[in-house]
Order: sequence, then structure tokens, then C-alpha cells
Amino acid sequence: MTTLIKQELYKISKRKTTYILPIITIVFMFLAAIMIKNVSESGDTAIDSAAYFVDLYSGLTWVVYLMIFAGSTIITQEFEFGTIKNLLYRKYSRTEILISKWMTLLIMNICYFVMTIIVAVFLKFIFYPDVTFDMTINNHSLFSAMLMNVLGNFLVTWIVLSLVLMISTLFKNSAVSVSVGIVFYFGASVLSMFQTLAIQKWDWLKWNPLNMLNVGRQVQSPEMHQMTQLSTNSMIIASFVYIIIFLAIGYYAFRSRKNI
Amino acid sequence: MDNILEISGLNKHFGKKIALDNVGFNIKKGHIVGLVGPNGAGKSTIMKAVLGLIGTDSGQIKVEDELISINNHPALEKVGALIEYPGIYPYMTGREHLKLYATGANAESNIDQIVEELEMTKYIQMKAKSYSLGMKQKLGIALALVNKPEFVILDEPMNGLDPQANKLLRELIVKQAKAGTTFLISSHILSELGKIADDIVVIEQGKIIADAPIDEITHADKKLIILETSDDNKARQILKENNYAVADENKVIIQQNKEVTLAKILRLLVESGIDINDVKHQNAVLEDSLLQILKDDEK
Ligand SMILES: Nc1ncnc2c1ncn2[C@@H]1O[C@H](COP(=O)(O)OP(=O)(O)O)[C@@H](O)[C@H]1O
Ligand SMILES: [Mg+2]
Repeated sequence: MTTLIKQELYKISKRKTTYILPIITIVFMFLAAIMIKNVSESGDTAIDSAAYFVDLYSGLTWVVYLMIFAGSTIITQEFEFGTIKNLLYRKYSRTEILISKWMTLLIMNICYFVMTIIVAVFLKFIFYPDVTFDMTINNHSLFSAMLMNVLGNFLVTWIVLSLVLMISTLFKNSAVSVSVGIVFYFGASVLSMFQTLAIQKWDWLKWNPLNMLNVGRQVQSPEMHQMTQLSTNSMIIASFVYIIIFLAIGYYAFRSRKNI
Repeated sequence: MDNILEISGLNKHFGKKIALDNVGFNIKKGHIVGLVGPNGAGKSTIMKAVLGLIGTDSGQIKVEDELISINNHPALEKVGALIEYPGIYPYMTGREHLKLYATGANAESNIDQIVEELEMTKYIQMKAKSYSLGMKQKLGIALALVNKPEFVILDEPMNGLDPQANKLLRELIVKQAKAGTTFLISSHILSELGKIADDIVVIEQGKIIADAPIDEITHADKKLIILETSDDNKARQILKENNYAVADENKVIIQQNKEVTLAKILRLLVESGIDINDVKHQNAVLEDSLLQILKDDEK
């Protein structure tokens, strides 16, 4: 298994996008930090400025997109390049191959989080010197609020990612799975007004996977409960359930695919 | 154990199309086996099944006496393969590909060795997206061989190779076979393998129609008599009327055997008023004996 993960990481390390996309993310975080500062120079309180840090200056959103890209290419490209045969005919089982890909994505995800946190801390020191780590937000220190936000985002990322991986094994096409991932993630924010109304009307709709994408924000601000109609704990559990279901369907499809 | 591969009762369909029809054959350790048949015969399908890439409807595949299935095939550890076309990451160099798959303590020296043997040194550091078809094909072959596998499966490996590379590959295969490596090599052109194979398995429309040592298949070769006459059409017609098997080609070609002798044929034609301008003898090349096999099977 370690060999397989190493091989996955090796391939990823040779891809240009592996470096370009994070650089773009860092640039956008910079821009966000500068713009927010200019726009809000006048009336902003220290708490507002702290909230930007907790969101890692939009870095968390970018991490989701980076992971959608990574997840939608890690399987489909093997089919597109014809390398899937080389990957599968060795002594390893399909289960091992797929799990090694999940683990690789997990490692990438953690690396991206570490990167965005470091950059955000750096940005805070440059642009928001008056925001300090011992400030409290929603009864949490700034740093733990940020970490909670990261964990919430981690769940959101993996809901989207597990869906993307499921689509990947079913359609073998990176364009399809990347679009589904983006539409699903983006759709959640676009549809959130509509969704709130729909949930008020049909209560069971609160269990739909789009609603789970609010788990990140609800972990931050429990008053989101009004909108999602779910307790934070139920949301966390339901998120895991969706992740497991999506991963399991993808796993089953990959394992039982009879023709390569 | 003298068979490295044992296949029996293999059936496989795609939709309504029957791709493999009760396929069975064995491969002896250290042999070079040619899998020969026209396009669409099922060569790649057999190889994919052996490699656990595709599921089959029924039948058994054993490598080193261990059953192969799509989800469990540890026996493939010592197998190297190139199936259909080489799988290549365009953003990686040839050398990086080899590094990716090379395992074991001698990985680096194995890479150097195969790069040299296949004469890829000049472009091995270039990104694979800039490779020509032949270069990609060589890289695919190098990937199959880099870990010095005991059993190598090559699907139409001569595809896209120039004559020089073709020769290089043959020599490499023969050399490795002498050192104990077993090869299963497919081709739709029998003569491509005739020079190196120990055994030939012929497949047509998913069925194995011949499976024999190369000598036996070459033995089926008969001497051909090729005539140039004053009137080839008439000559063919006369021969046919006298129950000689004549090939429907431009020249007058007859298979020689105990019954069919040159003397008899010449006498017949001369008596019919046809002048013989030239007589040639030729050993039927492998393609012809394959054709013979295909024809025999149809009867
Ligand atoms: N994935 C597939 N889906 C449908 N038909 C297939 C598939 N793969 C192979 N076939 C069919 O099976 C037959 C055998 O194919 P193949 O093994 O590739 O032939 P060969 O390698 O001898 O040229 C062909 O008729 C081909 O069309
Ligand atoms: Mg083929």
C-alpha cells in the first residue's frame, strides 16, 4: 500500500497543475486579504477582521476546488491516458489501488490545509496586525475557531470529493466529474435561498446532500440551525453517511468493472 | 510445474458478440509463444483476461498454478505486459515512467539497462507527449520489461516500430527467452513471429484453431510449384478440370506432394498445347500454411 501511495504522489509531483493551482490559490488569498482590507477600512470591527482570518482569506473555498480537480483527475486520467491497464495488472488488488488513491487525496488535502493556514497566518501579520490569536469568536479563541472551520471545511470537501470519485468511476471522464463537483459545490450556495424555503415546506428535504454542505458554516455559527433545520451533530453524522455512501458506490463500481 | 500459464474453457462475450469461445491453451516455461489471428479475433481479450483486467463468463486462468481473477491476482507480480497501446502520462518523461514502475533494489540499473537495450537513450529524458508512435511503443515495451519479469505478455509489440527497432526487439526477446523468460506475443502477421516463436496458437473469431510447436506448423508447409506459361488462365482452368488445387492468383501456383508432381503437371499442360516459360519452386511461407490451417478448419 505504501508503494502505491508513493507512486500516486510521484505522478502528482510531476504534474504542473500541482504547483500552479496552489500558487493561484495563494494569489487569490493575497488579493482577498488586500481587497477586504481596503473595502472595510472605515467601519470594520476587529471581530470582522478576525472572521476573515478564520476563513483563511477565502483559502478554504479554494481548497475545495483544488480537491475537486485532484479527485476528478486521479482516476479518470488513468482511463484517458490508457495507464489504467498498467495500474491494474500488477499484483495489487483493485481495492488496494482505489484505497491508495483515497489516501493520496487525503494527504493532498492535509497539505493544502497546512499551506493555506501558513499563508493566512502570514497575511494576518502583514495586513491585520491588530487581530491577535487570543481574541475570542463565538466563545472560541481565534486559532481554535479557525481550526474548527478547517475541520468543517474538511467534511464539506469530502462530501464533494466522494461524489466526484463516484462519478469518476462510473463515467471514466474527468470533464464530467469535475463539472459535477463544481456544480454540486457551487449549486449549494446558489440554491441556498431556494433550499431554505423548500425545507420549510418539505421537512424531509433537510436530509438532502446539498444541505450537508452547510456543515462547515454551522460548525462556525450554530445559528445556521435555523436554515438547515438540523442540529450540528446530526449534520456531522449525516455528512459522514453521505461520504461513506458515495465512496462505497464508487468502490463497488470500480471493483466490479468487468471491461477496462 | 512446467506450465507458466494454463487457460481452459474461457468464454467471454461483449453484448451479443462472442469474443472468446471455449478458449484453452498452455504455455511452457521459457517458451516464446505466438498468438496469431486476424484483427478482432480475440487476442487482446485473451491477454486482458490473463492479466485480470477483464472478467470472463466462464473458464479458468492459472499463472504459476494460481487462479487469476479481476480482484485477486498476486501471481501477476512476476508478469510484465503491454496491451493494445502503451499507457503513457504525457507530462512525464520516459525515464520517469520507468522510475514509477521499477521496483526492487536494482531499479536504477534495470532502468539503465532496458533504456540501453532498446536504444532509447536519446529521448528518454524528454516528456512523453513529444514522443512519436514508435517511441511510445518502445517505452511501453520497456515498461513491460523493466522489472525483469518471468513472464512477459506483449500485444502486437511490433506495431509502429521501424524495421530496425523491430529487429532490435526480436533479438531482445530471443535473448531474454534464452535466459529463461517466457513470452506470449500476439500478432496478426504470422511471419512476424515465425522467426522467433517456439509455439504458435492460432485464433480466429474467438476460437483456437491451431496450437502447435512452430516446427509442426512450418512442416505443414508444402513445396509450391510456380509456373509462368503462355496462357495462365487456360493453364489454371485445365489443372482445375483435372482436380488439381490451384491458387486463385495471377500466376499458376500448385502445391506439390506425392501425388502432385512437377512431371505430371508439365505433361498435362504441354499435352494441352500450353508452353511453359518458367518453373519455380518455393517453400510456402508461414502465412500460406496458416491459410491452410484456416481452410482445413472450415471443412
Ligand atoms: N470493450 C469491448 N466492448 C465491446 N466489444 C469488444 C470490446 N473489446 C473487444 N471487443 C470485441 O471483441 C472481439 C475481439 O477483440 P480483440 O480481443 O480486441 O481482438 P484482437 O486483439 O484479436 O484484434 C472484437 O470483435 C471486438 O470488437
Ligand atoms: Mg488487439
